[in-house]
Amino acid sequence: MKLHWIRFWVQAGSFFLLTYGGRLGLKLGHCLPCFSCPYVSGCAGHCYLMALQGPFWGTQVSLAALGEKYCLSALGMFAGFALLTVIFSKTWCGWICPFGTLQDWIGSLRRKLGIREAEFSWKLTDRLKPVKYLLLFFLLLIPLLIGNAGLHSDFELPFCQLCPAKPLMPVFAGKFTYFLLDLTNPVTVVMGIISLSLTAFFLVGMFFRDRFFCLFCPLLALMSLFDRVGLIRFRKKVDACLGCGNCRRVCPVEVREVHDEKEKADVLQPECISCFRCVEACPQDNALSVRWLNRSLFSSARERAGKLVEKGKLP
Amino acid sequence: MKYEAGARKRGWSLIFFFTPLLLFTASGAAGNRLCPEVNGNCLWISYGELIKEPDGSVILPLKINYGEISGEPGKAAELENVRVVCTSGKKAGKRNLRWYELPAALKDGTWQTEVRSACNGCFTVRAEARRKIGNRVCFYSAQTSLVLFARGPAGNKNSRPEVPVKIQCPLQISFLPRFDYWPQTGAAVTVRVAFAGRPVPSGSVCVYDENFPPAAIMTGAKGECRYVPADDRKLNRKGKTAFKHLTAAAEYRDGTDRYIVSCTRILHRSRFANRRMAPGIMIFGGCAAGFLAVIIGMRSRARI
Repeated sequence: MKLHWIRFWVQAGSFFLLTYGGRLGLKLGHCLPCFSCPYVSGCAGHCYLMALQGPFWGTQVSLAALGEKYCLSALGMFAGFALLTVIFSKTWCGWICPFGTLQDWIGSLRRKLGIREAEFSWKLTDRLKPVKYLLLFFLLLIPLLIGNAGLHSDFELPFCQLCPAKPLMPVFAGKFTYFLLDLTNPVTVVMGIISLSLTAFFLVGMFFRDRFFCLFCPLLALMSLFDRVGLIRFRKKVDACLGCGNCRRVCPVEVREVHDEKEKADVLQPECISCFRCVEACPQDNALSVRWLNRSLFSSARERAGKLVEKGKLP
Repeated sequence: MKYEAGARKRGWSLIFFFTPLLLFTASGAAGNRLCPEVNGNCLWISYGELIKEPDGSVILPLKINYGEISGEPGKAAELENVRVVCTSGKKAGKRNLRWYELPAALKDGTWQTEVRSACNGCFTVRAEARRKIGNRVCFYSAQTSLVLFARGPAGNKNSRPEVPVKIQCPLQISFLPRFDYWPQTGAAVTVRVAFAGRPVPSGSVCVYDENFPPAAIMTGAKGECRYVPADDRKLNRKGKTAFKHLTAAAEYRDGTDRYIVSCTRILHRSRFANRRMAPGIMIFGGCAAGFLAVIIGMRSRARI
């Protein structure tokens, strides 16, 4: 079976399980390293970002409470997240994340309609790279300010309030509540307006650009901390590379380093979502390979890339 | 019991503090009728800030106030036989319950106590006191039902010595549903009044909704009346977890004895009352159309 078909079915299965699995009794906890949105009623597990910002396992806590039992449970939750990230690395993003899958489906729709993808200059892509780290910083800071500096508690879960997955993902469970504007007080109104504007921005962006939200994803930034210890390794045989540039062209998040790398064998980048489209598109046998616990999962093959060219999926 | 026998002999001689307008339902916003019965002193419970202990258990301090609910405080030291009892479990509030006594102390002119819990649980706290005025005895009672969420040490259950406690005051007033995980404005509550377990029909209940004038409501045939706490802008401006007190009070006279009771619950702001579809969809749709127009404009310019 072709890699992109395997990926399609894994993504579809994960989307179904994570979105509706709770209704079937599946409970995967609160530390999933993917956008399994907790606002979807009946979801199977919760995105770790919610726990990270929250008052139970996250940074919305008084500094005086650090060192107490709370700290242990927060560390336990982080350890759960770290373990899942180390085992599956960023395949969470490219193969499992329901919001990533939604982005891929929207991108497929664009291709079916024959609309070409928006192209970003390298300069713009490079400028966007730090945004996810900035978001991660504020995501940790704002709850700390709520817990210690008296910031209004309506700023609670700041990233969840602004995340486009919050209004969009519950739609698949028949819930449109988060498209409503909360007029309770000025803070909720402002946060609501920003949230809905950002949702519109990302929805349009996702249509014109593959994996548009992943360029800004703070969870991806957090997961890159574990890139060096992840069990999934992404290798390049530098001397086998022809320099055709297929890997760069098919990459949905504009990673250039896989193509440009001339020395190191380990080419997993912080921005990489491990979709491994580049491996499928590489026309050189074993030039790119994916390994798990040092066992080869799959590697590039001339024949496979040739078929893609025949079908017009590669230049 | 003495009061039950007396009640049967004399029948229901129910006199409430004030003659209210005949209303079976009322809302806080509309409830601008004063309840002069509040001039009489009353015992009522107010909540303090929840304290989270390092071991995961929680403590909720409670104040047992004495005086006019929305007026002058009374002299709590004049009260006799002050006692605070508590029972746990969802069936709390039903008859023949096993209560245990909570320690209460007079601090700064107010009786204070606290409920501790090491695990999730529902509690009903009842404070009772009496006061002699000449030959007459006035019984006071205040009640509240609350839910506490705690994560104490593993396997830790709330164990307390249960002692057979005789409830002094036969008049009972309670909110239904008795336990609510997140009581909020806009959600209707039922107030039930019963004397010695029997419903008190056509009686007056005075509802004190913080930030609103008191409202008087008549009980129906089942001794129940319904109250819908209005949306509260002052509460809305505070955070999600901020709360205010909702207290219902009633009085009953049985011969020379007088019973004044209250029950209190906290109210959070409404989660959904202020959500509007039209402005939300307009903002979302408008922004989406705007971004789409920008992209199409940029693409057409690029072609030129």
